[in-house]
Amino acid sequence: MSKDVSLGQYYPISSPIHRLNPCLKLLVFIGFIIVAFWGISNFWGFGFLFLLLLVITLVSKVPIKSVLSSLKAILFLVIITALINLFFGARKGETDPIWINFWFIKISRGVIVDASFLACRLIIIALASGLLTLTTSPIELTDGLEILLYPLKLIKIPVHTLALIMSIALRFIPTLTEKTQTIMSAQKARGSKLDSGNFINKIKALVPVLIPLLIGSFNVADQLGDAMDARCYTGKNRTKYKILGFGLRDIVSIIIFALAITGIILLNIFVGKV
Amino acid sequence: MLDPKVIKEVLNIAHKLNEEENITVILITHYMDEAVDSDKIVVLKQGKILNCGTPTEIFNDEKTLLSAGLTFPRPMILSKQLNSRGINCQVSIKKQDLLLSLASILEKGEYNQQISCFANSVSVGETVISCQDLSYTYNKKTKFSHDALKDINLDIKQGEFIGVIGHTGSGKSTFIQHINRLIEVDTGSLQVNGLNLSPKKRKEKKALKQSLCDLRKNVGMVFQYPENQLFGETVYFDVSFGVKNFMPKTTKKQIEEMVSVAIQRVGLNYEEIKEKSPFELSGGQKRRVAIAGVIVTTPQILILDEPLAGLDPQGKVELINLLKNLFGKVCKTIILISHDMDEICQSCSRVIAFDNGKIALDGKPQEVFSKVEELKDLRLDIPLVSYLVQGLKEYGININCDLTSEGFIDSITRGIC
Repeated sequence: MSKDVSLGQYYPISSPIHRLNPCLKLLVFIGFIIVAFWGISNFWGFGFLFLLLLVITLVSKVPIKSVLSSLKAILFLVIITALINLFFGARKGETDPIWINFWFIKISRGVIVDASFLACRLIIIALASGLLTLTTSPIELTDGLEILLYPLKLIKIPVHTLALIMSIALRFIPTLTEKTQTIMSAQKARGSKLDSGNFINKIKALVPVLIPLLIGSFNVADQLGDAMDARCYTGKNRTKYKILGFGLRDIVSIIIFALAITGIILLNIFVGKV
Repeated sequence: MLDPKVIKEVLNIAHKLNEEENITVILITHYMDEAVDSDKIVVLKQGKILNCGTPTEIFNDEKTLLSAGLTFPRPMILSKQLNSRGINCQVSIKKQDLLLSLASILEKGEYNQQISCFANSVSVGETVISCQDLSYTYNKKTKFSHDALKDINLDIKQGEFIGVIGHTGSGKSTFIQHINRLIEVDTGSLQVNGLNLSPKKRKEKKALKQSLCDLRKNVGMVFQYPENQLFGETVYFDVSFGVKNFMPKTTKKQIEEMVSVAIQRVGLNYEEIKEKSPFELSGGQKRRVAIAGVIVTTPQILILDEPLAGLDPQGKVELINLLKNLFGKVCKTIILISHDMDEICQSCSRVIAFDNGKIALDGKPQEVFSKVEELKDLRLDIPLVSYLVQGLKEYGININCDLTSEGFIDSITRGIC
C-alpha cells in the first residue's frame, strides 16, 4: 500500500530553503503577511514581493506549478472578496473620480485599486503559505511552532502537549486515509452508493464508512496511549531527535529578508500611495 | 498482517535477545508453531491459567489443550496421523525432529501416492476472469509513482479454488481490487463474467457503469480484518446491507430469509444473534458476521484477503471448513489470499504467487510448493509437507505426492506395506 505516501503537500527534496530552520521560515512567513497587509500601498511593492517569492521558489527547486496550485483552493475566495470590495467598497475623504456609474453600482478608481490590492494580498499569503508547507515537513513545522510558542509556557500553557497533539494528528493522517479507503472499498464491494447515485444517496452512504472509521480511530488512540505508557511517556524533560540548528545559512537568509523588507518600505515611502 | 519472512525476522530478534542478552521474552501468539520454540508455555482461558509447563508437556496434555480452544503444532498433528496409520515415527512438536525421525525409520527408495485425495470435486468450467497485460501504477506521473502491477496475464476459470500468495507489497491486493472495479483498469484489459472492465469506447463505458452493481453483486469481496467494517446497530441490519443495496426490490420477508441463510451458513445461530450489536461479539464471531454480510447475496466469485489473519486456531479451522462448504454450493470460484502456506496447500486447486507486481509462479499446489528455492527468493514459506519431502530427499527417500498431508501419509504407508 504505497499510495498516499505524501503527507499534506510537502515536496521532499533537498534545497537551501528546505534546510532552513523552520522557526525562521515561520517568522518570515508572518513577516510576509505583515508586509503584504500593512507595509505596502502601491503596485511596485507587490511586484517586489512577487519577485521575492519567485526567487525563493527558484532557490527551493520546487516546481513553480506546485506552488501555483496552492492558489487553486483560494481562487474562489479571492474573486468573491475582490468583487464585494469592488461593488461595496468606498474611499472616504478623498477626491476619487468615479469611472463607472450604472444603476446602483458606482465604481471609482480608488475602489478598483483597493480591490486589486486585496486580491494581491490574498494571493501573496496563499503563495507564501504554499511555499512554507511545500518546503517544510509537517513535523518540522510543529517543532518550529513549539519553539515560537515557547514564551506561552511562562503563563502555564502546555505548549509541548499541544505540539505533540498536533504532530500526532499529522502523523495519523496517512494512516486514517488508508483506513478510510479500505472501509470505503469494502462498503462499495457491498453495493454502497459511494461512487454513484445522487448527492443525498452519497451522504447517506457515508454513515457505513464513518462509524467503523470512528471506532477504528478510538482503537488506534487507545493503542497509542498504551504504547506511550509502556515507554513511560510523561512529556517532561524530553530531548529532541533532530535538534534545530541555527547556522550561517539562516543568518544569511535573515539578512536578505531584512534587506528586502527595508527595500519594500523605502519603495513605499519614495513612490508613495497610489 | 506481516508476511512469513518478516514474522520470522521479528521472532529471530526476540530469540536473539533472549539468548544473547538474557532478556526475558513473553510472546503472546495464536500460532502453535511459534510457541514450540519457547522454554515455557502458559495457557490462559477466560482469565484463568489452565496449564503451564514446557512445550512438550503442554502439547501432550491433549484434554486441557483442546478445552482451551487450541490445537497441536502442525508437525505433531501430522506425526499423530502417521502413528494412527501404523507408522511409528516419534510424535514431535518441531518439524526438524519429525524430519529426523522419519528419516530414521523410512528405507531409501521411491514412495508414490496412489489415491487422489484432493478434496475439491467441483469441475472446472469456463473462464470467468481473464486479464491481458494488466498494469497499474499508483500516483502516476508524480515523484511517488509506484508500479503495483506489471503486465499481468491470467485466466481464472469457474470452479477453481485459487490461493494467492506473495509477500507484502507484491501487488496481490491491487490485483484483486481490480476484479470488482474498486480500482479502475489503467492499462491492459480485464474481463470478469463476460463484462469488459477496460472499456475504450464511450458506449462500453456507459454499459459498464450500469452493470457495475451486478458485477459487485457477483464478485463478493472480503477485505483484511473485515470485522473493522461492521457498522450496523444490529447484526441483522449489517448483514442485510448488501441485499438492500444490490436488490432494492426485495421484500422484507425475502431479505429476512436471505440473512438467516447467510448467518447460518457461517455457523452462527440466527435467532440468537440477529438482534445483537455486532460490537459485542467475540473476534471470531465478528469476522463471521462480516463474511455473512458478503455472501448474503450469493456471489459467484468470492475473494478473501487474508481471512485467517489474527484468528485463534479453532476459528481458523472453522473458517477453512466454512470456505470449503461454501465452495461449489454457493460460490463457484474462490480466490483466497493467505500467508498460511499449509492452508493454501491443503485447500486450493491452484496457487498463484505474486512478486513485485508480476506473477512469479502459477500452477497446482504440488507444482508451486515443490519449487523450494524459488519460493525462498520470493520471501515465502513452504508448507510442512513440502519441507519434509525436500528434507527426506537428502536421505535418499523420494516421496512423490500432491503435498497434502493426506497424500503424504498415503504415499508413505504404501511404501512401508
